[in-house]
Amino acid sequence: MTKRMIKKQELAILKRELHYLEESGILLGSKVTEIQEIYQVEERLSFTKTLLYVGSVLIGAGILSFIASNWGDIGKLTKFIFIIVMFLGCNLAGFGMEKTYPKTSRSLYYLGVLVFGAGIFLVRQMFHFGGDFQAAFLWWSLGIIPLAWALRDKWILLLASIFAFIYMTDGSFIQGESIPYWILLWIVAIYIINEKIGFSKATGFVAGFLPLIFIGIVFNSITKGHEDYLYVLGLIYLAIGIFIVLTRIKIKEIYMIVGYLVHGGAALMLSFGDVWPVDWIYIPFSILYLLFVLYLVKKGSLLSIIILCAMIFRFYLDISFEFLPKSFVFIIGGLLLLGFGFYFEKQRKKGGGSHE
Amino acid sequence: MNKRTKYLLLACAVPVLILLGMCVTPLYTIMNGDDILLQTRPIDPSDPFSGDYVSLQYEAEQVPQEMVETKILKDNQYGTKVYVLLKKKNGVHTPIKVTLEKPKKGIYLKGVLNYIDDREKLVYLQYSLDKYYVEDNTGTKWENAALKGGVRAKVKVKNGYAMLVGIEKK
Repeated sequence: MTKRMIKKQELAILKRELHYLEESGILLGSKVTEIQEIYQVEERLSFTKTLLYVGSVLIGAGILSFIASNWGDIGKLTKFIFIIVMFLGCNLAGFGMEKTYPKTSRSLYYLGVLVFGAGIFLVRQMFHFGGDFQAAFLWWSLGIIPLAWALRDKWILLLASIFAFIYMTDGSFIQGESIPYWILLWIVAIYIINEKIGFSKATGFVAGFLPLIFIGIVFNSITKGHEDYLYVLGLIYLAIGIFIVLTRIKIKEIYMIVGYLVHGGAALMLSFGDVWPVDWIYIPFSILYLLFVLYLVKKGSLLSIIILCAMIFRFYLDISFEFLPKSFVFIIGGLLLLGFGFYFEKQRKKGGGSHE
Repeated sequence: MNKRTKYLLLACAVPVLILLGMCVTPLYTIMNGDDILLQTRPIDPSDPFSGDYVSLQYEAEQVPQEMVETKILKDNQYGTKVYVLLKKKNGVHTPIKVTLEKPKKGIYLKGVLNYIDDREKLVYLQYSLDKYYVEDNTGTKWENAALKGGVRAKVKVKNGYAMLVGIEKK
């Protein structure tokens, strides 16, 4: 069973409460130990790690910049061999230092990941590859995923997910000219590996958006990227977001947050008249959506308060700019935000999860 | 060798194979491809990862509709893969026919349908030849050369796969 990661202070509170329950005779000592074992304190970034990781990133950036400068004095083959040797050297040194210097070893693996990226851009440069740069990030992502799995490394997997995300934002996909079907396999791999190596919220967050972008690409391919159907896409995202939020069973917290962001973002888009085929629809839509958000707020969802504020603020700006002087717009806008902030803090004090 | 070391070794082999794999087709084209010259119109942007490059547009990207197969014009699908048959005219290779089927003989380029302009009776195509990487801070001289009278691209082609090998002043 994967351990539930919590902060050090949270574990302290939990221990204190469990101790109290044990002393009161509500819980048995064995049960207390069993419960405590479910939790694990999140590892915080140490000073040494920070130094090492920043160091690898700097060296990696330097190598990328060295490749980008494309000095004619150094032959292409020399540069290519340098990259391969450097990549293998980093990994070999990383492997050799795993037991004696684990932190340095990790940073060497990270440097290897960056050197590999520099290699991709070097090959593009060597053969004057045309087209969009996004394809390079796909190869980068493909190359480092096995390493993320072998090392059980969350940071490398996060990077691979971000690169997959960048790849999917390629103009030809977004405009619906082609669909990268096989990226589905990649998305599944990222999800599985993330589960296997100890779930990372950051990777879950990025990966949560990958299938959503894919849906957008398929939709744009069907409609040939025609803006007249933007409201259909908005409604699809809205439905997906609401479905995620309402289906609470066996969904990780981070995917719930993605759900909130998706339906909130979709609703914000649909709250503009020009998105719809008949522009007045945005009014009943916005009213219905606001009622739904109020229902979520009533159930104690703090994230819904943010969505509610964003919606109100969006309408306030839309309406006020037409007939109020600029200074009033800002003052009233500021007051509204202060009010929202106060309400948010009050609700937070009352308790309730970010999405419950 | 334990299981983890084996996995790690395999994982490290993947990036190396990707880098080597990316070189295969271009190297094969360099060794076995035909040399052609294409007329270009460059500008000078930069890419933070790969450095300065001359962004190239080609006369061969603008083809009169009468050279294009009727089916391509009819379907009008962006992103359709097409074959552009070339013929040497005054030292420069220019398109003579655009087809969906791979030509049986002659030098041809693989391209992608970009846009059909019915008013000008033109078809716009795209090749993967739009970037020529140059040393840092040297792109501007190519831009100036282009402004004065044009630059030509030296390309290697094999089975429709085209690769830029150089640019020259006209």
